[in-house]
Amino acid sequence: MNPILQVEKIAKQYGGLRAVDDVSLTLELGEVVGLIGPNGSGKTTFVNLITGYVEPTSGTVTLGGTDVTARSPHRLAQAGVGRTYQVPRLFSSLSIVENIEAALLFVRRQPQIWRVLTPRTGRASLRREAIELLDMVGMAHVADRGAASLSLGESRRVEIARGLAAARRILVLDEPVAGLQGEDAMNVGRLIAETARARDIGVIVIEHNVPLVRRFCDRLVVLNLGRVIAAGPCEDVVRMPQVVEAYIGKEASGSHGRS
Amino acid sequence: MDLLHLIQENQVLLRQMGINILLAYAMFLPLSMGQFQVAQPVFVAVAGYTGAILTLNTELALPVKFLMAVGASVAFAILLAPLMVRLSGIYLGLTSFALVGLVSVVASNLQSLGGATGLYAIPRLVDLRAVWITVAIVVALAYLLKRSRFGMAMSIVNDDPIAAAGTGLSVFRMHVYVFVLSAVIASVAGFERVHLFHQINAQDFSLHQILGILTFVIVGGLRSMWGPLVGVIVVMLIQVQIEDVGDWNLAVNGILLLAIVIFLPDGLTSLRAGMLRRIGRRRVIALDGKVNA
Ligand SMILES: Nc1ncnc2c1ncn2[C@@H]1O[C@H](COP(=O)(O)OP(=O)(O)O)[C@@H](O)[C@H]1O
Ligand SMILES: [Mg+2]
Repeated sequence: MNPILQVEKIAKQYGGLRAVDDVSLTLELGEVVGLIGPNGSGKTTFVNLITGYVEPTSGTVTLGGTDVTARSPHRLAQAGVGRTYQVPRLFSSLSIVENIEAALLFVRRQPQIWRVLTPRTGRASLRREAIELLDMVGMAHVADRGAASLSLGESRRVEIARGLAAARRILVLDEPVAGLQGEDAMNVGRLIAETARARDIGVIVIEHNVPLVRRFCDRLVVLNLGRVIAAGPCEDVVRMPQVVEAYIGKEASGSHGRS
Repeated sequence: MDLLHLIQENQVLLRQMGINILLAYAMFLPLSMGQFQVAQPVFVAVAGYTGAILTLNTELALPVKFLMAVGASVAFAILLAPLMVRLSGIYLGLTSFALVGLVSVVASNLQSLGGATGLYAIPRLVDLRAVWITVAIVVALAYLLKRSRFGMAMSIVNDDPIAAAGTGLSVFRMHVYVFVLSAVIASVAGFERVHLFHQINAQDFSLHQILGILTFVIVGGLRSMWGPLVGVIVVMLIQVQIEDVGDWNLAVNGILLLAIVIFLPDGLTSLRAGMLRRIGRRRVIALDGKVNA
């Protein structure tokens, strides 16, 4: 089977700093890959590279067999790439359900100025589809509340639903459970894994919480200083000495090293 | 005194008010999407001078002149928009400001545009009714726009352009659209103005004028589509009351602007929305019945 996403030796240079240094990665449909690494190891930059927010210095990104290197974010979203952000970015002037509807609408079709008579949430089917996504993340009961009224954890859930609205092929999650407590974090982890399988999409999830990624990811990729230092099935990776030393050792010794 | 009388007696004020409402909407639309530019007077000038020259030198029918003048101005906006909206934040604002200054200097130095005196003795081809019909159309358009998908796209670009792009929306395209839409309204206002006030000169496109329109827009508020309408009416009615104070007029304007920015940063229309919400809440409590303590 051909991978849905194939990243080849992608790199980003910021002045003298190589934030992402020749990273390669493949992702299959229905698969959840965990991307871990200490702060500043280049995880967010990698995500920005594959979602079009940062232009690579070198390397290529192939999505479903098409070269999409350096495509703009909106075109990648249209091509089926959904994402969330390390700090949630919901549209604060919209209701929660409208946040989802916006993604469902614009991923399919750009708004046309001469169609001023088409109301923003015209069809009931659009709302139904949005509510379904909210239901998946357990937020359907607050659909009509303003997005600005949510807690951090709730915002992350809604953002996952919005990411899913665009994610026909892949979903990229930048620290989706950061700031959530044990049980909540596990629920979101389970949700992500179930969603990937149910919707048959590839998921890349950045996460610090090693017990969580071990449980819900099929494979792990470990970054340190912009380079891949280990990759493979979870149980193998977490035992590799270079991983224990660079990252997990810190967790085990009690300092959580999160920002 | 009946309405007709009232209108008759305030012809001059109502003319100016109508034009100002159009200009305020032209400035409001881009600002409400986070597109900080004040290039509108450029298009007022292009459509205004083109219209004046056509009227003074040709026998063309009014609709033809209208289409030619507005068309020329909008064509210019379409060429300019992709270049302008590539600039962001304060750079776009400064560039648009500079552009208005440039147009003003060029207009006052071109003999074919009448130099510093401008063009005058232009026949009055537009009446009060036509201006207010245009106002009604623009206000209705703004209202529909806000409720449309395009309006939703404008809201999310204003909220967070990065996340907006992540939903598949072309933020660049939105900026081009809104730049041009603003220019269309400004051009119509420019054409109507020359044929309402008989004359046009470089002073009509001064930085001073930008500040005047900006006052309307800020006082009305950027969050409601009614903002420009409310802003123009309130500010102009106040201005009429204080006409006697002469130069202090400007100071009063400044104080008004300052007071709004400090005490009501979302403008007068936020007051209305807030009041309605409070009334709505009281009714809910009353219906609930439990909160009767
Ligand atoms: N826009 C930028 N300009 C310069 N340096 C950057 C920029 N973005 C990230 N960096 C640097 O790249 C490195 C990787 O950052 P990031 O991708 O945010 O790491 P992570 O998400 O793993 O914590 C850091 O050293 C960071 O300071
Ligand atoms: Mg990060």
